[in-house]
Amino acid sequence: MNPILEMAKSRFKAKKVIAVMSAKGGVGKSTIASLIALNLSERQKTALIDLDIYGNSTLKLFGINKLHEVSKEGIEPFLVSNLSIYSIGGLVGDHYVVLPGKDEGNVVESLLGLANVKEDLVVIDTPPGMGEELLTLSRVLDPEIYLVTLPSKLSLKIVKHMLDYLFDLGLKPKMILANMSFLNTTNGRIYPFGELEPVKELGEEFDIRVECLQFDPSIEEFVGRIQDYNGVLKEELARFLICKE
Amino acid sequence: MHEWAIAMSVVSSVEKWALERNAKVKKVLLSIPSLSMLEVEILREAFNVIKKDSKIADAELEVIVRDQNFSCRACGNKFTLKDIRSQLEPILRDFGEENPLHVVPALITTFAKCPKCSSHDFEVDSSIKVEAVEI
Ligand SMILES: Nc1ncnc2c1ncn2[C@@H]1O[C@H](COP(=O)(O)OP(=O)(O)OP(=O)(O)O)[C@@H](O)[C@H]1O
Ligand SMILES: [Mg+2]
Ligand SMILES: [Zn+2]
Repeated sequence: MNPILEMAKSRFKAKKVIAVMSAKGGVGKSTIASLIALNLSERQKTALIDLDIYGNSTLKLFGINKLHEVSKEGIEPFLVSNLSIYSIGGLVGDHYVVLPGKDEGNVVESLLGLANVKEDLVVIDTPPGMGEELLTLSRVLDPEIYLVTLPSKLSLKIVKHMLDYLFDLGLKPKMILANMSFLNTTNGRIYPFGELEPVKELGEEFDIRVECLQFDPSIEEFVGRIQDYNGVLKEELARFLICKE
Repeated sequence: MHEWAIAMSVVSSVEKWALERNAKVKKVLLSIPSLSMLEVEILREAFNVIKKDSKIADAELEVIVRDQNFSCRACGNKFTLKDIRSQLEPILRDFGEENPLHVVPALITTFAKCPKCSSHDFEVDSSIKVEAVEI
């Protein structure tokens, strides 16, 4: 019997969990997960869990470089207004992380089991790919999946594999977010990855809603203080979250 | 401190197990890795407090502290916690009581290397598990 896994399962059983995923790296998962969590936290206390044990992008986006407090009840969050943030980076501090194979899963399991999450609404940022972290996540809970991709051919090919895999598991993502789809300039709209038809077709093929997010160069200024960002990307995500309900 | 959280997880998972079988639990055998530096006395104290509000109020907790066998995947070397203790001193010093290995022992490969070939790629069972339940 694995008590930590049991605890993780029962902790999340009655919660609504949104997982932001992609088989492809660097497509904007962490940025989007943070902005979704910030949007939700404006209405209701929300937790954001960073399962990217190597990158810990969440902490970097929010400019957090402290260590988690550990209490009788487990790992205590970093608080940013109404948002509670948990990350392995908050345990190891400024140290690289090396984990062979299934230790990755054990670390994820420990974080999910010991994080003292009290909020009913949880957003999870995941690492790229379909590795141990994802397997562990699906061992513990059953999330609503937001699949992030670029509208590029390469990204779409890789994300299609993930869709096949998720469908095999009986999991259907709630939405495909085609990030960095276009850029508004004074000379009109630019499509850095070309036409948006292919991503829309992918959505049709799997019967999943597709939403296109724009490229916002101003995001860069908010790395380290994403909680202060109120730009278009956050607005767009807020709109998708609302019309969904 | 998170010994309390662990004790909580043990009580609730054994309670669930017992309810499913309609069993009366006499003893719970918990196995913890020595590298976690969990305090057995706190675990037991917490278990005894938490169990009172559960369906396993009569259960006694026995804790086994496992000495791990480490096995290097790069060079095949077998070693023990004793052999890497000196490597862990800086972490114990810098992080204090709530060091990362105490909270998540599976992070061991991040902070230690094989004493023979310096690889981080070694195997060790760092899990916390209920080995047996006596009814
Ligand atoms: N819509 C956007 N407009 C402009 N920049 C963006 C947008 N989305 C993401 N970025 C930028 O792209 C980079 C990658 O984003 P992010 O780290 O969120 O991706 P990721 O998918 O989480 O990466 P990883 O796979 O490494 O976890 C970052 O520099 C981020 O600021
Ligand atoms: Mg990321
Ligand atoms: Zn070795």
